[in-house]
Amino acid sequence: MAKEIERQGILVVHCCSIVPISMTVGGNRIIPTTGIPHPFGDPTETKIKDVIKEKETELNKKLSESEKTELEKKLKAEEPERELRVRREYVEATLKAMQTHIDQQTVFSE
Amino acid sequence: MLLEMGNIYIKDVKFGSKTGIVDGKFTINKKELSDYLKQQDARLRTVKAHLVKPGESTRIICVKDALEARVKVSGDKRGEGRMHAVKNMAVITCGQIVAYQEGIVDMSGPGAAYSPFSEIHNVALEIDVVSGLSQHEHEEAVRYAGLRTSGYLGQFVRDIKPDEIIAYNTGKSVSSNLPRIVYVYMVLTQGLMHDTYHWMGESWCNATEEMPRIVQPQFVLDNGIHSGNCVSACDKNTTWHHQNNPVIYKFMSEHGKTKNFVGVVLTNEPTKLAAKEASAAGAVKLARKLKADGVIITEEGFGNPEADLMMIVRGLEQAGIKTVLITDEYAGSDGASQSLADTTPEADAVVSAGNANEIIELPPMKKIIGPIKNLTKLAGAYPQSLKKDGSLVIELQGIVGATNQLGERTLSCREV
Amino acid sequence: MAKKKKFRIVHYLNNFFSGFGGEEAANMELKVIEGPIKVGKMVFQPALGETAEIVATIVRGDNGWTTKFIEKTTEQVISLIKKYNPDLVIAGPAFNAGRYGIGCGAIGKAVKEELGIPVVAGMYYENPAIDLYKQYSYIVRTSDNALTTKDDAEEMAALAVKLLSGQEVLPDQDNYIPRFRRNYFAGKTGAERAYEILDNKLAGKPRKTEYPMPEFDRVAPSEPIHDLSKVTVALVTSGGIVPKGNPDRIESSSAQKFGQYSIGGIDRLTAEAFQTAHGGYDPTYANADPHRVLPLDILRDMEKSGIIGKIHDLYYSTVGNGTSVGNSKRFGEEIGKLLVAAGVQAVIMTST
Repeated sequence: MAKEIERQGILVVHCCSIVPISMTVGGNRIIPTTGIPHPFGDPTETKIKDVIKEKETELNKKLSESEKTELEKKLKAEEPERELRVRREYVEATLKAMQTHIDQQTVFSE
Repeated sequence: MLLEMGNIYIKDVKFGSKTGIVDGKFTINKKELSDYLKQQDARLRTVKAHLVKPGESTRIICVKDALEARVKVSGDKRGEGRMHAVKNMAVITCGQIVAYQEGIVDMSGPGAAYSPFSEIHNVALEIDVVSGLSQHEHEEAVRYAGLRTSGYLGQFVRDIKPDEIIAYNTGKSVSSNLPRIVYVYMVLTQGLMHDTYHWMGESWCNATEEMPRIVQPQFVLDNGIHSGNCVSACDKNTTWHHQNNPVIYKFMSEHGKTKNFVGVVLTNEPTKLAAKEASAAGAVKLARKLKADGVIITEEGFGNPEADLMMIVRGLEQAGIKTVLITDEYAGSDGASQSLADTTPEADAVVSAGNANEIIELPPMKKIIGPIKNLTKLAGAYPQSLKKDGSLVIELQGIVGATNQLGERTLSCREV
Repeated sequence: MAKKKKFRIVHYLNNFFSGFGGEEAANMELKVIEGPIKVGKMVFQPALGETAEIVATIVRGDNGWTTKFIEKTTEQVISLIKKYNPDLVIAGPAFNAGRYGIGCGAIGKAVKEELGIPVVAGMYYENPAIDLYKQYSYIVRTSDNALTTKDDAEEMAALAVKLLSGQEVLPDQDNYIPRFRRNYFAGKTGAERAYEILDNKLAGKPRKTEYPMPEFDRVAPSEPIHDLSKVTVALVTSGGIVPKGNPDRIESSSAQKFGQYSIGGIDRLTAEAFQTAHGGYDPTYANADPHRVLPLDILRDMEKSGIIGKIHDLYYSTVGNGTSVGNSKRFGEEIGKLLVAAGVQAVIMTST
């Protein structure tokens, strides 16, 4: 769809998670986003496992169940603010891509 | 590793007062089954069992999973020992819709050829849950009911002499001249109604974790994987499909004779790009570790998983490993559209499991098993029209197993 | 003994191949001649034998197929064809001729849609008409010049005979350009077929793929926006965000339509007023907060503070789950046209 809209002369920025597909089909300005069910979000449920793994690697020990629960609670509490922040970052990146001259397909990742 | 599969072929299924098998006929006390399931899980409100036979004018709707009833007769480790399986029969879970796109099975008529379940006897469990459950809880309750039923019914063939015992043995040393083949087995892992579970250590693990991994084919045959996804019905692997994986059976039949089947690389289909790249690279690495000469890859689902599929193909081919992939197509109802969401020039050997967008008209059936009032909700799922006389015009997408990408059916697609 | 009925065929030729003239005759109006002429008489009719007879030859100058006249010409040709009540139409062969090819292709499409009878054409693989019309006719592969006319026309006639007698035809064996894809039961399971192909691949033997990889075209990137504070941005999504209740009943898979919805005066997408119709991903996140798919909240704030000029009052939504590429293309074209007419300069498209 993005390509067909652009074919008519309107600039399109494609925000998606599965960048390779956009590349193959021919999207020009591509912003990689968080994940399929929530491109402009960052919900706790889908990131908690990765966050736990990172923490365990950082501390070099396994977290107890109560520590995991605490971590999840903390992430959930800051979720609204975090998501707004992530969303703003993606939108800003999108607007930047709109203002950037490109000669070929470009993935705008930070 | 040696796993013996003892197959008991059922001739008929009926309801009766004493559950058991006599002369190949399976009698089931449906109240005992329903009580057992409700006892095990308070989330189940009602469980109605129906018997469905091949050739009947019956349509099962809102199907969530299909499973083969089995019991482990001996062996502590998954993949070793002896398993008895009830053949020619499946357990099908259906009932209240959890989410869009749950599929149908027609036991006769033009739709029957598109599903393996029209060819065998089915114990269809229509399951309703208590109110107040989240969608995730609803899905889990129904899924576990299916697994428990498989085990509950399976126990009745523990002491039955199988009609055949087939040994799946990959332990014996195989001539080093035989080409080494590996099966790269992709399973869907994308959230509610889109998940898969594999046995890890002591329990079921969501396949978003601990993947990719190398397993022996016998692990898969020994109920190593079960399905937590059913949408869209045509290209999802029901648990029955995992238990009866035709690629594994085909590879095993050639093992030691013309090929050396060295292992299965189980891998997943994440939703985030970085995770996709990691899983794909991991799968390629494991295939190379197994020193594969050739690989068959099967995809589950469609759309974004094609990105994962193409990444794996690219990685394998660039490493000099010959690949063949099995995928279905979404070429539009006129067959004139681009079939896959992603492509790569290295994918030069493709088996097509059929175009899921092709339209079929299914005549009305005398009996419908499932929440009938939800048929109009099915109308939101895929282009479908329910005519006044009860006939359905739908895409093959809606039929359970129609374009299954393990290559279970003979359906294919070609240019005309 | 009853005489076997001969099938009726109408043949289309252009100005040059009908003998009326080259470029100077490209404007010639529609003409119909009873029976076959030129290649129709010399090659087609003998090759068709007793199976079929060419009852009429229709001729039009190539300029009848330019954008200005193509619709009218197609109508005229179809009405003429209908008069002869044929069982099949032969068009060309057009070799690599562009306008002639378009003419044959357009006739093929109209005949298929209105008469439902087969059309056999002949073109060189680079003829531009092929991509536009291949799904409607059986376009036999020819060379790029008329020196091979006899061979090419005989092949076209052979295909016509097969079609008329109800025999199965396939692109490879009958040498025509694949029209579209169709399911069939292959006799062996997919797993068995995959194993056979692998076996051949490992042994270095030739083997076929059941699906050749396609190539996608490219569109030149648009010029960047220089002044964001003046731009009108529209939102488009394939993530299926729709008003609660999905009033247009957009399908959760294989969408057949897109929706146009108003967000004029709406600052925030609430879970009460919006939902997702997409069946291909876990809907719980998007349903709880639609901004996770359509970031209207941030964009409105930016609009209010003057960072961007304006958010277009209408947004467009469809479901990108199992939606055929053909439909996606069509939606993109239509949405693009609507946005151009509305003066929108940029689109943020979100996919799940």
